[in-house]
Amino acid sequence: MSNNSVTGAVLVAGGGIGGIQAALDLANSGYYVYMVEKSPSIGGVMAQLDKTFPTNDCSMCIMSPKLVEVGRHINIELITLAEIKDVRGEQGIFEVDVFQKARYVDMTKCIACGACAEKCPKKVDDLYNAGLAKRKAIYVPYPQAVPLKYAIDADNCIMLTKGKCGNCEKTCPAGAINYNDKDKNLTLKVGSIILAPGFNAYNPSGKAIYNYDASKDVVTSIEFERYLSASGPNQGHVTRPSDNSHPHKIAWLQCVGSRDINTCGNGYCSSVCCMYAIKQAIIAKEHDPSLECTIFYMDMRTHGKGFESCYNEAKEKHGIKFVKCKVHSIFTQEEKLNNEEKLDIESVEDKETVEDSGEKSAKKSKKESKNKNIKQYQVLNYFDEESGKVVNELYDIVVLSVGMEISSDTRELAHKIGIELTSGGFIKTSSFDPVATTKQGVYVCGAVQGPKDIPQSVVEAGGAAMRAGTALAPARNTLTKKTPERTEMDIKGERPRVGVFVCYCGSNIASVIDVAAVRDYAATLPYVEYVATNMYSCSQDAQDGIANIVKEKQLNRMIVAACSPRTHEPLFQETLLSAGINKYLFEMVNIRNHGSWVHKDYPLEATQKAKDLVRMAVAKSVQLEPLAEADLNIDQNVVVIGGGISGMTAAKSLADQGYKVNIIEQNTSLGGQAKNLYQTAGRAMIQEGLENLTSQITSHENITVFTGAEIEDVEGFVGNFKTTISSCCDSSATSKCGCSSGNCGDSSLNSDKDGVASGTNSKTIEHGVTIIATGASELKPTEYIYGQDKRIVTGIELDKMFINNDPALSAAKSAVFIQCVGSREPQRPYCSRICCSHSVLSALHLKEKNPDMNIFILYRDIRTYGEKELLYKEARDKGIIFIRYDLANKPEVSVGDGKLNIKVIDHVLKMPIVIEADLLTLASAVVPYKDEKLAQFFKVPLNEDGFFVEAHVKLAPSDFATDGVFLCGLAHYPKPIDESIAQAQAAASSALRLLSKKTIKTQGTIAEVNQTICSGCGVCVSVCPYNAPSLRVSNQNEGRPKPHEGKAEINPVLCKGCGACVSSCRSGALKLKGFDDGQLLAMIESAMNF
Amino acid sequence: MTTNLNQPDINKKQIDTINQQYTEKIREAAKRILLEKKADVVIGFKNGTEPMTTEPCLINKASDADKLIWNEHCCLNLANYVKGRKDKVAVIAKGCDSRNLVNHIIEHQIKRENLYIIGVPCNGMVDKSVNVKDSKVEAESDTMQENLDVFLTNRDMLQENCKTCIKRNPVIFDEMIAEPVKERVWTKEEKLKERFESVNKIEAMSESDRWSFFNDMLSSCTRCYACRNACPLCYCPTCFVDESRPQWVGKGVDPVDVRTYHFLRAFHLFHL
Amino acid sequence: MSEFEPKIITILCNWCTYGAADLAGVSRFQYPPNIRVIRVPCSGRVSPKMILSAFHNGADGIWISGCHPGDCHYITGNYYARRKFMLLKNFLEYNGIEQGRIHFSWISSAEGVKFAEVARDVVESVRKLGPAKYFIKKEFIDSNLCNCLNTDNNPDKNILEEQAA
Repeated sequence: MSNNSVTGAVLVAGGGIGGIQAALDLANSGYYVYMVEKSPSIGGVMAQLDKTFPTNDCSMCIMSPKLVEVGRHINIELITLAEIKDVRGEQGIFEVDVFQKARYVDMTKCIACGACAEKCPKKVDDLYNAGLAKRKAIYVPYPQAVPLKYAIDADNCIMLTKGKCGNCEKTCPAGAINYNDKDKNLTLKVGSIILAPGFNAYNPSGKAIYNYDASKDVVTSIEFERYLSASGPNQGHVTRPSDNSHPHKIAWLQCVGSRDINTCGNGYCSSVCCMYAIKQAIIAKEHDPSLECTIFYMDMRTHGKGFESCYNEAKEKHGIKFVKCKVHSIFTQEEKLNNEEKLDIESVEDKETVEDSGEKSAKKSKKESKNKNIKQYQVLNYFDEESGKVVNELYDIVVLSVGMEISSDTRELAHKIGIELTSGGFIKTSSFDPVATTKQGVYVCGAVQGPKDIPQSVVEAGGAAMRAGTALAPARNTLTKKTPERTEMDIKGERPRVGVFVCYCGSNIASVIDVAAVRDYAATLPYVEYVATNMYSCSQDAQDGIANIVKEKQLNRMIVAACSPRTHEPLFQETLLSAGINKYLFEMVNIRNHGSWVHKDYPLEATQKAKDLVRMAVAKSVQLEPLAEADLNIDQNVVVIGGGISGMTAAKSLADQGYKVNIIEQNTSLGGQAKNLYQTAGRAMIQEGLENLTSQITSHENITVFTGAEIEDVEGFVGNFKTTISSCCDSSATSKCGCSSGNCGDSSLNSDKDGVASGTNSKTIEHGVTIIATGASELKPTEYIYGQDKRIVTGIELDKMFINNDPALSAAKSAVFIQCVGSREPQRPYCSRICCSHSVLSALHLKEKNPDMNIFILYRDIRTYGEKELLYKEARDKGIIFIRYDLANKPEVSVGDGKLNIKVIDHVLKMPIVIEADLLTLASAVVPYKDEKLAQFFKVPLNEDGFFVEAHVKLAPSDFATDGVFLCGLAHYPKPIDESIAQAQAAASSALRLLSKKTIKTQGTIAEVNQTICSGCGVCVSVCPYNAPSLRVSNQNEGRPKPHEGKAEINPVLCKGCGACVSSCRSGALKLKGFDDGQLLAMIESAMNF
Repeated sequence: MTTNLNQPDINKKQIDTINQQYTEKIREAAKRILLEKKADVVIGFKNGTEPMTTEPCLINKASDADKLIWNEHCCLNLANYVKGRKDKVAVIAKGCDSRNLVNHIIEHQIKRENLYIIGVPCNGMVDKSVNVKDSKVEAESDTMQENLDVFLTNRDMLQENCKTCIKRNPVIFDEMIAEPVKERVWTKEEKLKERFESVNKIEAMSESDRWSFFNDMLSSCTRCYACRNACPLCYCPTCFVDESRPQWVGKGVDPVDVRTYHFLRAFHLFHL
Repeated sequence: MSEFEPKIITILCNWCTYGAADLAGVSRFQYPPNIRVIRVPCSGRVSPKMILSAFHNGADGIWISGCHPGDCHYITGNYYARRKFMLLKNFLEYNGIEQGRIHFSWISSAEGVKFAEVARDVVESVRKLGPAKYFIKKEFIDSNLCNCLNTDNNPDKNILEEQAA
């Protein structure tokens, strides 16, 4: 395969958050993307969620900007209602057969007014609401859907199934309905494929033990999520599904369809259920603080960033009860009750709790409840470990925390195109290439690779995009479309000439608002030169008409009174631009979503409101100015800080795409923590992998490595960083000195390197992007008499023994592991994520060395998430003994008579036992370096624990809020090698988005300082989260002071246009272009004055 | 322990002694600082031209140090004279002045390295409208310091802001000219009742009374901006009322414009 | 119009509450037509002068709404907004502005129902207070009145006449 023949396009299968991220990364770095989505719109499961853990962010709010970006992206082609049927060819030159179902609605015509659904007589279960509500046979899955176009559900449409009805066709004002639409078979030519089909939630139906089929009050977590959601079937009010009454007690049952080989054969852990159960319980409690929430769990697996503190808060602040117990079955208490009990239950309504219902209230309700229906309760019968008793408890609602499964369709497709699966049915990848399938050129991200949460899916999406793009690098920018360059007319000094276009939106606006009156009113306003109405302003012909009028009438401001700027502003801006007018000279008036739709019984008032809003928009628009989007060059060099696995992977990813990368490593050799590690959970030998990666790095023509290097200074910002380092050596490909001494003194070899000043030990590197991969280290324990006995080692020390094949290992007769050493303690509250899997794996290694060895793992919760659960199972099968301890009763380690004794209270016997060990491994915490200097240099934040804080915990896990700086590996949070590699690739992918553009455009709507007014107080500097403002400082080398020294200035590249600085400026020296004080005050004034 | 209501002069004497000591220390410090070139100028107080007044005094020669004085009329906030200077400045700072200095440092109006703070523990400034000799200063103790504490808590004599002072000692300084004085500890009740007495009074009013209260208070305002000039925190080169684009507050004496000026100026002082 | 119909200046952040208002529209949740929405990027963009200016111009009430604390599209903008507004509201009320004229809320883009509910609450609480009394600049109202009397069929005529009286 020659490089020139590869196809510069990628197919992304699945439009969930993983697919979306992968598509955006690729489309933004020079590849054309086909996004194939099974349903009528993208969004996946995340679109169904109410909130996201651990921060309880509104899921839709954080996701919808991404949905819109995909929908509008010029280089992403959405192919909805479609599935992959077959894949032919090989990496670089795939041909993919795609089957696309008919939509029966012309997407170019549909304006999503919803008139069709209103008239559609056929009600269908609404899958977006987990079947808890009804939708029509013609529908959009959810209001924020992308593409926001209706689709007909062919299986349920009366016209398509029975040939009669036709209501929607009659109603549609846009003529978009096409009953003759046909299914299509497409063949797409792509270079790489990313599979991101997501997961199916485990279906508990048919399993009598869950009582799911028998009672409405037993719901799955997805169903409960919809109940919690403000856009759900109950508008966010949680009621008992059986009778819509107010619930008092809700139970969550963990591990339904996960860690369960008896009822369903899903041996793996689904990784996310513990956290979402906590989240749901907290939200439910926020709705009603008197609610009793109990979570029944096997192990609480809160192993992610911020999870453990969320768990602690759930217990301490929200009063959520956690019971360690697998409830074996649920049944309904109802008919079987005798009369007395029945009345007890009845009185719950009055008395709030079951236990309190005394005789009196029973009698009282006896009279009242003669004709009342008897209530259902869910009985949970479980063994309470604390009291040692079997408890019978009644609940109003039971939520089954269902796990993740891969659909049979996905498995079949995998089989058909020759991709291997894991035993759990997920797509198989390897530790050192965690997003690559066994078929070259096909990559994965998200839950299809193993159960995982949103940030991990987003990380893998970045990784998959990186890997998918690398092979196609020669074809980058060959298939992508470019927005045509347009010339804008200079309107400076012109008197404002405003055009106002009022939209009927069929009858959507016109049925309530007197559109003609609004138009005529607009004509009376100052500076308005032209007014018109449109039936559908967004239709193609209306757009062309508007553009012509703008030219013809020489309008220099445009106002459209129609729907929401959130959905339509870019469209009309584009129209204005096509008429040669700067797109920032546009204002939109929302008279549909904020007018006719919400004031349908008040046509007069709605019309008056529309007039007011138009007047306000005119008042603002005359003050609008054309705004420029400046171009900024992106230096094409990269700096990666940290030469561990993450740093090297990130460096290699970008170097493979042709970028020059500098790795800055403070140690004298590459490798980081991996140098001391033995095996991954996927049983890959780490030393082999590391050696392989290191040799690729040191021999890579695009990579320069600085070892023994210290960062002295950093200047600049995205696109133009200058980093000064002091280094003993630049061990590039041509100068491998391996300088362990730290003073090789051979700097002459480095002079030919790009962007590297040489000759001295201090060098300044110019670079456009920075990746921080500084890692973390293992805590040196201060307890369990560590350091006092050779037999007591840490996890990493144990690995070193494995690497060196230490004879002490096979000689040991008894080995003990103590988990959570230094983690999940008040002074270090986070979970170190990797230690459970590591200890379980190490225990298995010990068993392999000596099958007769007695091995004990003393733990608090075993957190072998995902398919690592299978290791835990294997360990138990092999006789490794797990003893649970709690924080109040930690194990005690002592040495006496040369014997190493560990005393622990057995959780079953409730008695102390003493284990004599030949080897004690302390699973010690992963501690960050808390590098405040580095944080300062790149203006990036550290959290309380000392890890770097990403831009967004869910959707930007590898980015910083500061543009041009990216994050991966242990510096972000403890994680195993495969996750570190995926994140390194994701960070590289984020960096690539910038690098591949060569220039970035600044936003038009940004802040600007008037330095003559500025007092230099620096408040703007302190409020800005993006470090855009700074106080001017003279460069000492320049001699003369800068004009306006000490006054603020805004870096237009970093400014995101939020305006926080502007409103915080006491002297009014700051303005926000496009939302300036003058413009907003003009709106306020004109709202009240006419 | 004696109480002598008829001999307020005893206390006055003691205060004079303290003033004498402070003055000497200040002069000594000023001389030393100028000679050692720790600062180019020293900003302090000198006697005013009227009785019971002082004026800010800027000296740049050690020989002028004897102009500096200290007494219970040094009420001006010298932080106002420091901002915007390019040279190295030493400044006399009471507790309240020092808090303004902190604010100026934080908001980049003064560079800490250009500033030398001569801290003065403050015993409170006298309200000029009250005649010292007529007031009922009580001696509850024989020691000078304790007498001073009595003096300081005597609500009749002190300036309003000194009565509710919580930081008599400078919060930031390069040297102190005397041992810190005891800070008054406010119980929660005292805080609510005494410190916020004037606030509470207004809060207890009805909405319309509150509106009228401030209207009456501001009815005589001529927008001379002396308040703004005297204010140690008002340093904007252009005040919001002087903004012309957009000019959203009128510049005249329309009552709503006057009200807006005072309202937003106050808001700017405690928040952005 | 027999009852007093207040006019309420409403400033919404683009990412959350403006989205909630859009969603309320899509879902056809009805609320009274008394609010006049101004869209800003972030609630952190709203400065005190906008609130004062609204009163100057005779607004009967002001409602500002942004993302839930912690959900800000610009990371921390609404935290600044919250701090600023709480102080401003207290201070305005201390100055005599009636409780119930100034409203702040945090509504996510998924909370269409909440948007309509809060809109109703805001309108009702301002309606109860009657027309604005304080911080109004006379000249604006006078010019309103002139304009109004010169315009036929102006539905706001009655209100303004009431206010003038």
